[in-house]
Amino acid sequence: MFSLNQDTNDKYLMLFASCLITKGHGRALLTDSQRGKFDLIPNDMINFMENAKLYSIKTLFKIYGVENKGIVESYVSYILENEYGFLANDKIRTNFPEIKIDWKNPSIITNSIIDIKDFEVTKAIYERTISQLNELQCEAVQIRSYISLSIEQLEYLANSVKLTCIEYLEIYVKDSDELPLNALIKLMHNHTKISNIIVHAADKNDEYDVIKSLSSIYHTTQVLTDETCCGLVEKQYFNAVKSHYMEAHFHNTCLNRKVSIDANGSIKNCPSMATSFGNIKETNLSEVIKNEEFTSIWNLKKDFVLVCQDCEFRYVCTDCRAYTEEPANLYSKPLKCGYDPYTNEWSDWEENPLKQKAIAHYELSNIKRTKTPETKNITHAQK
Amino acid sequence: MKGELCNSPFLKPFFSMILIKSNGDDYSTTQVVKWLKHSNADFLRLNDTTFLKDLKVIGNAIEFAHDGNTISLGNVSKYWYRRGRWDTFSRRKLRNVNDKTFHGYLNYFSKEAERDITNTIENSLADRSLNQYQTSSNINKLAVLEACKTLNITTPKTLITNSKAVLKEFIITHTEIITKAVNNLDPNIKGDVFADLMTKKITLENIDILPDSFNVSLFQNLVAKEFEIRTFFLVDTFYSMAIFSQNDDKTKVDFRNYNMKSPNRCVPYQLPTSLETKLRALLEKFKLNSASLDIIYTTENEYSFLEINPIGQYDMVSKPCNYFLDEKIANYLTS
Ligand code: SF4
Ligand code: SF4
Repeated sequence: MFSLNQDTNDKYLMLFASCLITKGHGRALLTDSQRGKFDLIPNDMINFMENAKLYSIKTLFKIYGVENKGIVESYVSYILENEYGFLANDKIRTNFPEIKIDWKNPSIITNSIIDIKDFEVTKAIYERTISQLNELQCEAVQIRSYISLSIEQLEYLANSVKLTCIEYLEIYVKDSDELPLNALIKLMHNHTKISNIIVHAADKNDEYDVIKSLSSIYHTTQVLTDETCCGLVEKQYFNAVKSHYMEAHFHNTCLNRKVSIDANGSIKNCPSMATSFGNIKETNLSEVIKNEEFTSIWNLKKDFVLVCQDCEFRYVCTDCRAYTEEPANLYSKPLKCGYDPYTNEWSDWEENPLKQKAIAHYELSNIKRTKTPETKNITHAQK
Repeated sequence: MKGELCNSPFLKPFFSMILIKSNGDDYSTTQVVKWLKHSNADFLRLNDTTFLKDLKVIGNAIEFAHDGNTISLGNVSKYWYRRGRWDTFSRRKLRNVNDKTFHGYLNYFSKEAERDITNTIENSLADRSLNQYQTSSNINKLAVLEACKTLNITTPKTLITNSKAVLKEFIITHTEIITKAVNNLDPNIKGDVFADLMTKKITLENIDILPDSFNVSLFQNLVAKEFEIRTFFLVDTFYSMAIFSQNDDKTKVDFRNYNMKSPNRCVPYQLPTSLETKLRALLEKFKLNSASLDIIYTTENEYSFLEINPIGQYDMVSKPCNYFLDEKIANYLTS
């Protein structure tokens, strides 16, 4: 536990600039955006950290008084022991500016989802899609196959991105005998752009790291039947890395600069959305992204979304716009979130009586979800 | 596609174009190029594998062929030297020379010739360059330390020697010392414990096993640090970052010894104006308008300058501090 001494008396407690606090209704989140971690803290600590900017450690103890000595000690220890902050002397403390909350990206499209339900259908449009994504400087592509594919078919999918600016290819594929682990490893050795392969409907949950390509192969027992499986909001899917945290201040954390091709070739914000902006067979992606109707959702940030705007997780959370509590309300909270920022409690969203109407609306009622903490969120192509 | 010069030169003459000299695998160049494409700028990226065909230098006019186009340096609006060398001499031909000694000679002279041509090319671009090969590739560490003295920039105590006895005396005076490569490319003491590009701490035991005379090397006293500062200078602005590595033994000497699990704390930093002014003068002296600089903030509350690296990885400053330096470089090139 921290205690005052000669050395620390006149120093100031400072947060590292990459450790950022988000105030929620009942508590706050300290996001370590450099290390991609986050931690819940009491809202009182926000005030304390503000005071810490103004007063030296010694003065802080004085201001908070003997009765709060224990709390001050625990706050200071907490910040220092977790390496969220440091002690700086008066001479240099003003040389540590705050990090600028800012997000920029040169790519017109940064990420894309391509859904597969019939390989031949996808094959007919795949190369066209990839070449158009390349022109838009897309960085990450996520392929979600609800059916099983052969190694040759996966090979084909990976080959087409080889000479493009697409740097990350994430593939979801249904398990089958044709996809033994060693064949997948070989595939990833040959295609270093594959960042992850997630084999769903497998008979076990596990993870295998492919060292050579710094990528992983996951097996999950969870079954992905179709696009309605997407959109889950759970703590394990939160993303605390800086780029996401920053992007969330300005844009929608799922749909910004995303363009998706559903299993039929329809161009959409995401495959779960009702609105199609034409079929990739005859429509150019570069045309679609000129359409404001398509891009306006990119700027629907968490601060605009009801309930979420009061939630401490809002900048690390993803924002599902395809499934919301009130389908007719543009600013409605994601349906598949079980968190209540007003009570700070998590519950099962599927059991929530208030959500039944929306669940019926999206015809989600017959989904059986097997909870597997190992499964990765399927909303974001991993970068 | 724009910028890639695959359009017919007859349809679209290049009146103004950004010229980039880099390596094929340089990540930062690729990022800057993305920003250039974003703003529809015309550019040509030459990698070190790009051989300059049909090079023509007549008076002030310099031309070469690239992908079926004639590139005239008069049309270059900005030149960015990022990495790699200018390939003006076909080394492929050298491969056919079997005689080892003869090959060595040819290689040496081709390098010399290449350097002279490179200087000629770059001199013609001098007024619109973001760094140059001639100034970036061969920073003389010793000259930098000399310049620091005149500019009143504090540096660690430095010794350059090839003698074991002298080195021993130095370690006795300063207790903790490190060694560094004198030249960026050559490890200082080949085949020995600290023959490495990284900064390494040296102990008396290390010295004991050295021969009485070794390759001339650079030694400095190890300055006790509060934190390190890496700053990236771009045209007129310093983008600085403080690096806290003290909590971790692995990174105490050189933070490039990464600890992946719990990376060093890297946060934005503002250097005092007085120091920035001196550093600006230093960079000017070496004709650099872009470089990375390493500085230590000592436990004595002093800034101790370590070194300049003109082609350093600025991305490791840009990302943690959210500076978007790729975009800033692209903005400069298109300005
Ligand atoms: S999370 Fe994103 S991709 Fe998934 S359904 Fe919701 S909006 Fe679509
Ligand atoms: S309330 Fe909103 S921001 Fe909070 S966890 Fe749920 S979806 Fe995310």
